[in-house]
Amino acid sequence: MTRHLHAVLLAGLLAAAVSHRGRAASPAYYPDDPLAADPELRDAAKVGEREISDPYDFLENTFFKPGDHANQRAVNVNTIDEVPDSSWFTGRIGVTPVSVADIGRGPNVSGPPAPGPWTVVSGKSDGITPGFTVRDQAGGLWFIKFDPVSNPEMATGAEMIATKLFWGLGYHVPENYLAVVGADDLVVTDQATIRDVLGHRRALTRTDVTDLLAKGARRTDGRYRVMASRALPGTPVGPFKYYGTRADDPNDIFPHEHRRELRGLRAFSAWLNHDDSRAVNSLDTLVATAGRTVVRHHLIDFGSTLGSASVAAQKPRAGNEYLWEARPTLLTMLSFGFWVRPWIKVQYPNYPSIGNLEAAYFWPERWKPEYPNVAFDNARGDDLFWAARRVMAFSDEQIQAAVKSAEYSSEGAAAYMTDVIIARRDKVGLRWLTAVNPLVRFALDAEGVLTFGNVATETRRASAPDGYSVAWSTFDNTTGLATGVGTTASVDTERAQAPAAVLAGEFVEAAIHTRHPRFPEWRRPVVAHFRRVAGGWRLVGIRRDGLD
Amino acid sequence: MPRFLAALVACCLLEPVAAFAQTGPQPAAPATRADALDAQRAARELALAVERRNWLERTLFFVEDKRVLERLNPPEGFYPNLGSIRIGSGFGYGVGYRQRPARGRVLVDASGKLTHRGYQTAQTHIAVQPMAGRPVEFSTGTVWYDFTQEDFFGLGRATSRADRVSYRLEGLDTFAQLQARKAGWLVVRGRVGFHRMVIDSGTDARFPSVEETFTEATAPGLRNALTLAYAQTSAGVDTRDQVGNTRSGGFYNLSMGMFRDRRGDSFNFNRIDVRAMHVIPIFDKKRGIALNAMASRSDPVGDSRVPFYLMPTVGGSDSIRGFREFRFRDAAAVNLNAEYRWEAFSGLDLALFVDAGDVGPTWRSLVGKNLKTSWGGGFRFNTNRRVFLRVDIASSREDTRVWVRMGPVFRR
Repeated sequence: MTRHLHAVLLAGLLAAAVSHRGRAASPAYYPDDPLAADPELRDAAKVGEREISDPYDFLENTFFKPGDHANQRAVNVNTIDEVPDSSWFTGRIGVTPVSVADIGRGPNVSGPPAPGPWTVVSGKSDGITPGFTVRDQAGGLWFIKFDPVSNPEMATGAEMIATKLFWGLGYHVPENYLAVVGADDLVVTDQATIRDVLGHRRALTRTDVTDLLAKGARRTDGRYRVMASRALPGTPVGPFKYYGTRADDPNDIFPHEHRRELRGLRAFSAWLNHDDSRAVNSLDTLVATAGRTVVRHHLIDFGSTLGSASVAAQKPRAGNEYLWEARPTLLTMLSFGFWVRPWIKVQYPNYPSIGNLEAAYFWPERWKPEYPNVAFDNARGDDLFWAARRVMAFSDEQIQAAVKSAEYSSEGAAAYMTDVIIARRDKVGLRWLTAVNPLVRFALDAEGVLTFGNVATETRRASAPDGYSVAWSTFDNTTGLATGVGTTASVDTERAQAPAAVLAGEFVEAAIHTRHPRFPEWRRPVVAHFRRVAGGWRLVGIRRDGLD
Repeated sequence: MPRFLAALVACCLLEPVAAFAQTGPQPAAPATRADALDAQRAARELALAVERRNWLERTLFFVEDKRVLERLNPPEGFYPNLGSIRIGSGFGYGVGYRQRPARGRVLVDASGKLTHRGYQTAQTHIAVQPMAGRPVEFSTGTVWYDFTQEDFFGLGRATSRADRVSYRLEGLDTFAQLQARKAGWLVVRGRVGFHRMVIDSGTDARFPSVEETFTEATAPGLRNALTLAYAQTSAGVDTRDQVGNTRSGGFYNLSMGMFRDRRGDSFNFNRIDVRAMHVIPIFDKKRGIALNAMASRSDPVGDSRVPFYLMPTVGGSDSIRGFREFRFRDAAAVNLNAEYRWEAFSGLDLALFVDAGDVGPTWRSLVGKNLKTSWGGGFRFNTNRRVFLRVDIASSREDTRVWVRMGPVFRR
């Protein structure tokens, strides 16, 4: 009797499920697909400020594995596998034309601090990098940071370069400028304050200014090269985490660990050795836009990128091993120290303004931030392919422009930095442009001719493949089912003619396999969907199969 | 077959139920992707919550935000004076107060502490840096202490653990000191002072008090209150890369002192301490060999004697680690340590070590065959600049000891 009851209930539930699926109203593609911008229409004015404990962030991510680690496609991509513009990201390089001058300028649109003395608002005597908050003659608020005495130009140079490149990649970053300031240019007023080591705020004195300046690298003319970072627009509400969503933000519907631009940040951070890519180096601000308030998400503080660790040169461990990692620790313990971590043997050039950065040992897949980052861990082949395309989109000239903004006094150092960033870029491309079937730019013309590009061969990361196989189908947008038409066509070039039968419907599906003896994973198809529009076909969908 | 029929009937019966469930007031199906996303956000808007931290994050945030660690050792004002007074004293609690007038060039500090074993100490201390920017420091101060249950096993190397007794030592040391560092590596120091000491019965109920087992002949100074005038001078070469977590370089120091009995000639003596410590990095600073050697000698002047509680000792967490602290005591002592260290990760070093040492009436009497030895391993939890916790496990023929110490080895 019990078994009968089970059968009855099971059948009933199945029937209900089938019925429900049959009535599903969601089509595979809506008329506005693919979305170019995520419509974050809800007002977020009630989002409150929060602070994150840096030690907790380390402990949580190192030992507790927060967030969702499911192997799933990034949830915020549009139907053509791209990241729509949003409060997190704006498609720039690889999406819209970006000139060399654009990269040289980066996010800097408001101009540097106004000429004249700066009025010190507050001082920062503790923390990793001592500095000031100042107002310029125009009333602009700026955060001032110095280079360490041991490495003049290093932290400020790295921050300038990384700011330009992360902006070019599409992130929201602060306006950062290089400036030169003397002790006499800093005006101390009665309103200026400083926190002592116990956190008590007290009046800031000229002696405090002198003490803080003593921690910075001084130029031969007695003045100081500084990084002036303009206060971000809007009201700060604290950092974002790399997992979950912000509970008080109505627009934050995608778990951060499944956002494409945060997963792809792994590739960008590897490229630029941004090992400090953790929660505290982000900042959300409330900004007014189109009559509502939204949370805008920024990456900040690039002092620990490239060869710089802000207050000293990067440790060789940076980028090669987490702060705590079980395997190398155990190996070292059990071998009495005779097992040597391979990165210890890496040699770095002697450029104090560069710090410790190289490209010969660097391999993107091995690169690690200071501690685990669930978004980075979740990055799949399609996420890293997306990121690598953007990295490879930077020309040598654009990288030179970013390095030029660092204003290194040593030509040798500038040339070395440029060469290393270019070499690391090429390695990122070599690893992650070839990790999945690297087909892009799908188009179907009115005559039914399919064209596409192979970005791995175009960027010379791989040789030409043996050929491509194209399987054609009609596609039912309501059910999401594809029906094969004809046989699979084999072509030698990035061009194929669709059979007439497939062009009769509203949607066309083309599944393209690439045959390459070195890259068997390229046999996993890229599936492109086209919708009939006036005068031809429009690409509405791209899916890279075989990654789940 | 009956099961299949039952399922079929169920389909027919339940299907309308499921369908009914969907025919309620459903929101209109979104017409666009933008509508679909906004519908999700609208639903989310109804369930917004305040961001909350869990207990661990709250705790860590509190520690950070309120600067709890900094408040344990503030540059000025009242501070908690925690930790042991001396090896074996037990954990102590107290309070201190310090000020740094004259733009930080003067330090005035006063503190007191009491441990659960009854050890007490109180001190005042003034340090002055008379020349701005020069590493010269003059300091003066007074230290009062009451060590209620110190260990003594008798003099010489042939003592037994079973001989352990306890004694109480109360003292008041008033001193003035001048210390200077030249060229970053030469350290010279001179110190003069008066030191009054009174010995009494030990309070450790587990062991007899010293006077029950020993006499003035076997424990000189046992029955005397003592006031010593003393002058000490030392010169050292310090090439350590970091004092708190040395990975290369060394420290070599020679110290000489004269101690004169202010109440007679019973306890006039001189003392010499020689110390050499060096860390040799192997390939890089991730591993290295630390060598440490100490030799001390107390020489009575004429017919005087050296109080047993001021004689050099061997044994303990910075000496032969397989023996108790102060295990061996005599007029002369030598201590040798070799330690191989390697970094497991940036916050932990491991170590294997061997220790050797001996005591005797003279240095000449310290022949190799009598050396007491121990061996063991340890963990050093550290930051780049400082070992903040050390755990050593050491074994000797006599004992196995576990040492937990806040700080690096070979500091003594």
